[in-house]
Amino acid sequence: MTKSPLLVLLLLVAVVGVAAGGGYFVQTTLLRPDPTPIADFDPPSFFGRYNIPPDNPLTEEAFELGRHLFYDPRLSGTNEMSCADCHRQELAFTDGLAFSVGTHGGKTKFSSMSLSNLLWGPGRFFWDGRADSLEQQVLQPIEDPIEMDQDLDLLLIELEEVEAYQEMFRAAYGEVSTDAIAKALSTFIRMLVSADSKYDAFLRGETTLTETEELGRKLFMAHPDVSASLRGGNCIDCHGQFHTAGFSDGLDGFLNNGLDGDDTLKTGLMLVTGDPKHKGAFKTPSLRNIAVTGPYMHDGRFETLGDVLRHYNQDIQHSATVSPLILQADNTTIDPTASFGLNLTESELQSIEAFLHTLTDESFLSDPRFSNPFSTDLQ
Amino acid sequence: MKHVIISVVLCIAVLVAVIFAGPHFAGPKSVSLTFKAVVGGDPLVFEASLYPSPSGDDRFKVSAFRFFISNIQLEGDGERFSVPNSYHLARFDGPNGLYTINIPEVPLTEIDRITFSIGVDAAANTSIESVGDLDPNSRMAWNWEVGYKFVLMEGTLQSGDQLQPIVYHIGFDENIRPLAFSAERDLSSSETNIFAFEADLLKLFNSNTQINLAKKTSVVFDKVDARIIADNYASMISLKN
Repeated sequence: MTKSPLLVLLLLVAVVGVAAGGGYFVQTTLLRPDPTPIADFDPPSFFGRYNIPPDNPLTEEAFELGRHLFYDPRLSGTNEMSCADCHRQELAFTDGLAFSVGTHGGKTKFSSMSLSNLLWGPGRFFWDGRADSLEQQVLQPIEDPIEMDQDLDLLLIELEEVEAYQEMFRAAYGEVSTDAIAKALSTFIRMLVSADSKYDAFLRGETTLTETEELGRKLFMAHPDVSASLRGGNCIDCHGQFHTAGFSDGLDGFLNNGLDGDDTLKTGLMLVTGDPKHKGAFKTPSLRNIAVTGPYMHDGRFETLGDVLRHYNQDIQHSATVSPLILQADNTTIDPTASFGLNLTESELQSIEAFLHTLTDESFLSDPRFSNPFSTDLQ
Repeated sequence: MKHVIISVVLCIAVLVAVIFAGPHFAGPKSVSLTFKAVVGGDPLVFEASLYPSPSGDDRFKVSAFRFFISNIQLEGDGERFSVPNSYHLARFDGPNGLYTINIPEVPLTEIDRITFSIGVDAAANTSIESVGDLDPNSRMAWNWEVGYKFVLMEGTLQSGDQLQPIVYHIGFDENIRPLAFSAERDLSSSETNIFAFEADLLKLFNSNTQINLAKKTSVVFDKVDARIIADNYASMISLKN
C-alpha cells in the first residue's frame, strides 16, 4: 500500500510522456501530407533502366528543397559559396576551370564534374569513384575543408533558423536532418536530365544531321578495324551510344585512357578498390553538353575538344594499366614501336568534333526549373 | 498429464503430415547454372597469369573475358521450360570468379536436356530495349546498327620482350551458336539443383581452327575472321556434373 502514491506518480509521468511523444509523432508524421510524387518524369527509354533508391523517391517537395539547398551559400562554412558556384547551369553544371576554387581560395584536387543524367552511367561518383551513391557523394564537398568547409551540425542549426526551410524539410522528409539534406540534393541532381539536344532530336527521328555531323557520328560509333576497312574514333568503346556516359555494369565505367605513363600515373579508382590494375583509372563522364564543359579530363589538362581528340589520335601514353582497347584502336596498321593513337585524318577529327557539338542541349542549360530559386524568396 | 499426451500426439501428427505431404506439395524448384572460366586446364586469373599461346612461342595475359548466354531452355519428362527474358552476360571478375544464373520456379520434375545459345538472337541483337542483361549503353554493345558483342576477350600478347594489345570482339547475327547438353537430374530429390559448366577461353583460338595470336592480334569487324572464332567458341562450354 505504501508504494501506491509512487506508482501513481510514475504512471502519470508515463502517460504524460507518451502523450507528448505521441503529439509530436502526430504533428510530424500523421499530420504531414505525403510528399507529391513527381508525375511527369519521363526520360527517354533509350537511356536505359535507372534506379531510384526506395528510401528516397522523387517528389516535388524533395526537388524544391534540393534546388534551394543547391543554390544556398549557407551550405558553406563562410556562407559565401553554394554548390552552384562550381556547378553553373549555363556550363552544364561545371565551372569552366581546370580546378575549382574553394571557399577559402584553395584549389580542389580534381576538375568539377558536369551534373546531368546521373541516373545513368557508373553507379559511383567523383572522378575516382569514391562515393557509391549520390546521397553519399553530395555531403562530401560541403564538408571538404578545401571546398565548402562546412560543419554539418552547424549547418543544421543555420537551416533550422529559417522558417521556410523548416516547412520545406517537414514537407519533404519530416524534419531538418543531415540525411534529408543528402536526399534532397540527390533528388535535385537526379532530376537534371538533358535529353533535348540535336542528337536526341535525331534519335527521335525529328531531324537529320549534316553530312559532317553524320560522318562524326559514324566514327564515334565505330571501333576501327583496318582488316575490315572500317574507320573509327572508338568513342563507343567507353561511352554508351545513347546516354554517352560511361558504362554502369560493375566498374566498366572506369578506365585508364592513356593520359599518363607509369611514372606519373595517379591513384584513380585504386583508391577505392586497392587493386593495382585500377591505378590511373578514372570515371568516364557523360559527353552530353561536352562543348560547354571544358577544360577536359579529371585535371582539366585539355583546353579544347580539339586537344582531347589529338590526345586520342596520337598521344596515348603507355602504362601498366592503360586500356588495351585504347592501345589497340588504330586506323593504320599497328606498329608497336610507333606512337599510339587513332591516326585519323584532320577532317575526320573535325567531323567527330562536329558530332560532339550536337550533344549540346540549350534548353537544359537554361531550364528555369534548374535555375537559382533565390531571386524571389528566402533571402 | 493429459496436456502432455495431447501435445505429443499433435507433434507426431504434424511430423507425419509433413513427411508424407512434403513431396506432393513441393512447388517448383530453383535451378542454377554456374560457369567457371578456364584457360586450357588452368583457372582464369585476370591480368596476373601468362598463358601459352596455342601456336607460337608467345604468351598472353587476359584483362577481360565475357560472353552472352541466351534463350535457356530446360527439358525433361516431355516438358520444356523456356526461361523468360533469357539474356545473361557471363563475366568472371566478381568476388569468386564464378558466374551464376539462378532460375527460380522451374516447373519440371526432372531435367534431361539443357539448351542455350552463345550470342544474341537477331531480333534482340539490334533492338534498343533493355531486356535481361541486354543494355544498349553497355560495354557489350557496339551501336544499334551493328548490335552486341557476343563474346569479348581483351588482353596483352607478350612476344619476347614486345607487348601488344589483343582485342577479340565477336558479334553479328550469323555468329550465334546454339548449344545442347544432356543431363540426368531428378529435381525433387534436392532443394538446390546446380549445373556446373566450364568455359574454356583457349578454345576461342584452338578448336575448329587454330589461330596464331601474333598474326591476328584483333578480330572485330572482319566477317570471315569473326566466323572462324564463332565456330571455335561453339565448343568452348562443357557441362561438368
